[in-house]
Amino acid sequence: MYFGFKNISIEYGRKQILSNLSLEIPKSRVVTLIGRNGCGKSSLLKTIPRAVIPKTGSAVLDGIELRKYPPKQLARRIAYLAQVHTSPPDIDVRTLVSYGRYPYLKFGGSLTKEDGRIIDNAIELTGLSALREQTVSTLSGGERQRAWIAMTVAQQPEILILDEPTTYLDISYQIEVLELVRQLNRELGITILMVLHDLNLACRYSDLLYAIRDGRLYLSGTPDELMTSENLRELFGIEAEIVYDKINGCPFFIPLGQSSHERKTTAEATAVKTSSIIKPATEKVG
Amino acid sequence: MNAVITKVPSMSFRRAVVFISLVFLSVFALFFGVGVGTIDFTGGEVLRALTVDDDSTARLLIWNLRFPRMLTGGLVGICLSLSGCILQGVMRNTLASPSTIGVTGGASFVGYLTLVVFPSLYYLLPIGSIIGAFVTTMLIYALAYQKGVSPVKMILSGMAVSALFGAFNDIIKTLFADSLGNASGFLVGGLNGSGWETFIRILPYAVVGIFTCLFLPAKMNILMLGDETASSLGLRCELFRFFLIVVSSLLAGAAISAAGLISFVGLVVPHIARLLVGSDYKYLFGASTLLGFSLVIICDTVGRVIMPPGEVPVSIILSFIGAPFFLWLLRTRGSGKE
Repeated sequence: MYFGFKNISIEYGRKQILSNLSLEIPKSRVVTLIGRNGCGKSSLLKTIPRAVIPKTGSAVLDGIELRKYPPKQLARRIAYLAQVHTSPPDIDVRTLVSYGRYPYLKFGGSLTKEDGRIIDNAIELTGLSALREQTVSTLSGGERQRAWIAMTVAQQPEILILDEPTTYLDISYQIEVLELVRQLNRELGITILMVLHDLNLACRYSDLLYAIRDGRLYLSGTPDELMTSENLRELFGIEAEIVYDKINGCPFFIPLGQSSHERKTTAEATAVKTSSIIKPATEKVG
Repeated sequence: MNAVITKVPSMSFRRAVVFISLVFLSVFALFFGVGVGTIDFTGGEVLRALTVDDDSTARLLIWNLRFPRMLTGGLVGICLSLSGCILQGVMRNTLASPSTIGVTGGASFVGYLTLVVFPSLYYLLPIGSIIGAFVTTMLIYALAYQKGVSPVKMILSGMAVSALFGAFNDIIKTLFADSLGNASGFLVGGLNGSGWETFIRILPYAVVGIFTCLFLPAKMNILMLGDETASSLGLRCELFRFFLIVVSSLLAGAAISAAGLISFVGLVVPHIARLLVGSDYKYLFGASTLLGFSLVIICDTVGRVIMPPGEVPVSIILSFIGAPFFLWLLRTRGSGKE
């Protein structure tokens, strides 16, 4: 297996989030994980920077478990962009991007000319040349996200993992960021694995969609295969009509409402104040 | 690609100006501290006394008393400032410093214990303080850390820990007054009585700590991006943070064993340094070193001459500057996480 996850189980306390989940990410494709809130898709990604430690299983690269790689060597192959970024308030774009070279630094840690060239290329590729000296905190949402992506580009990874890269961004920035992600995939051949909440954007920018439900890989396929009314009902509990977006060449869905079954369970769930797993509540209904 | 490595010109120019000024400030501080006192000397006389070994009063006063005291003060300032810089990185919180989180209290407590248990082996004092600093830091870290330290938890646990150790310290001082004869600076909380002997006692620990700091900036910068990002860039965050706590304890412990409960240097200096050169640790460590050196020397000198013939301990002068600054910080940056 080139890259993927093997037999991952994640528990928070007693709550089982993922059980024995395995999936494979084909090289140089854009793969998006979809699923409801709390289905474990972000947790799955977080096992990569070890922010979440799975109870069993591991992410795998070239058939070898990630934890067996020296951290810096791994960082040269897999870049990860967290959902929430923290950075000192006063660093400029170029400094932020330069941190992407950390896995390549020799002992002592100063940047070489070659590092400088790679950093400048990353800045150019992400369209930040005019902003390279600006303080990150003064950038717009979309620019800031591009700056962080530029940092991962400077890492020169084979695989880029993005945890909800469009959260907190308005639609124009969402498109801006996803266009950039697609460009990285097409121009640099970087394998992309991300989590998105907007299904229409997921269809438009992904080669493959992996849907997670009940702690496992529930469905997978191309957007064309996966986007059906039945699947959406099963995955998200919504009634939807699927149309074909001729301009972008991908399916597109129009939500009509919650499915009748879902309405009951949601009402019940709200009543008993359970958060995300609705199954136990379902059994009580009727 | 005609792209060339360029830094922000204005910022790098500004940093250069700041660093040159700080070097001048340090040299000035040293001459000021050595020259001013019960007898004032000019710069020329100071230079002569430092270089020519004769029996003059100047040589005696400067070489044997003031110069080693200033060097000790400067070294203490450097150690506390660097320790503060590191702790702010570890806790990912700019209100952290040896004094605000109770490290000074813990370090002096173990220091006292060392003096009581091994009264004749007072050269063990730095080791005791370092252990005390380490244990206290680990304690605060365990109590308050959750993906960065919540400022409230940190300050409160720091207060509690300080109060507790303060009480222990008072008990020891009362019960074992006899055993505590040998380390006056440590007991009083100042540099009065610090001579070559004190300087040389803490020098090895300080040098190891300061030297280690030369290798930290790249990693510190990465750590400031948050654990998730730092790990994905290949940094072993937990291990590195533990290492940082060891280094900061080494620095703080060495300083405290020489000068006792000196407050606020470790808080004020990193902040001023941040305002001057930005939060990139590559520059922050250097600026903090020079500032910490100058600040303690100047404050100590002011304390020596402000109320003749008496002497106000440096810790009191520093508190007069540091406490209002800390309150201002608490008000403006109370949310803490940057």
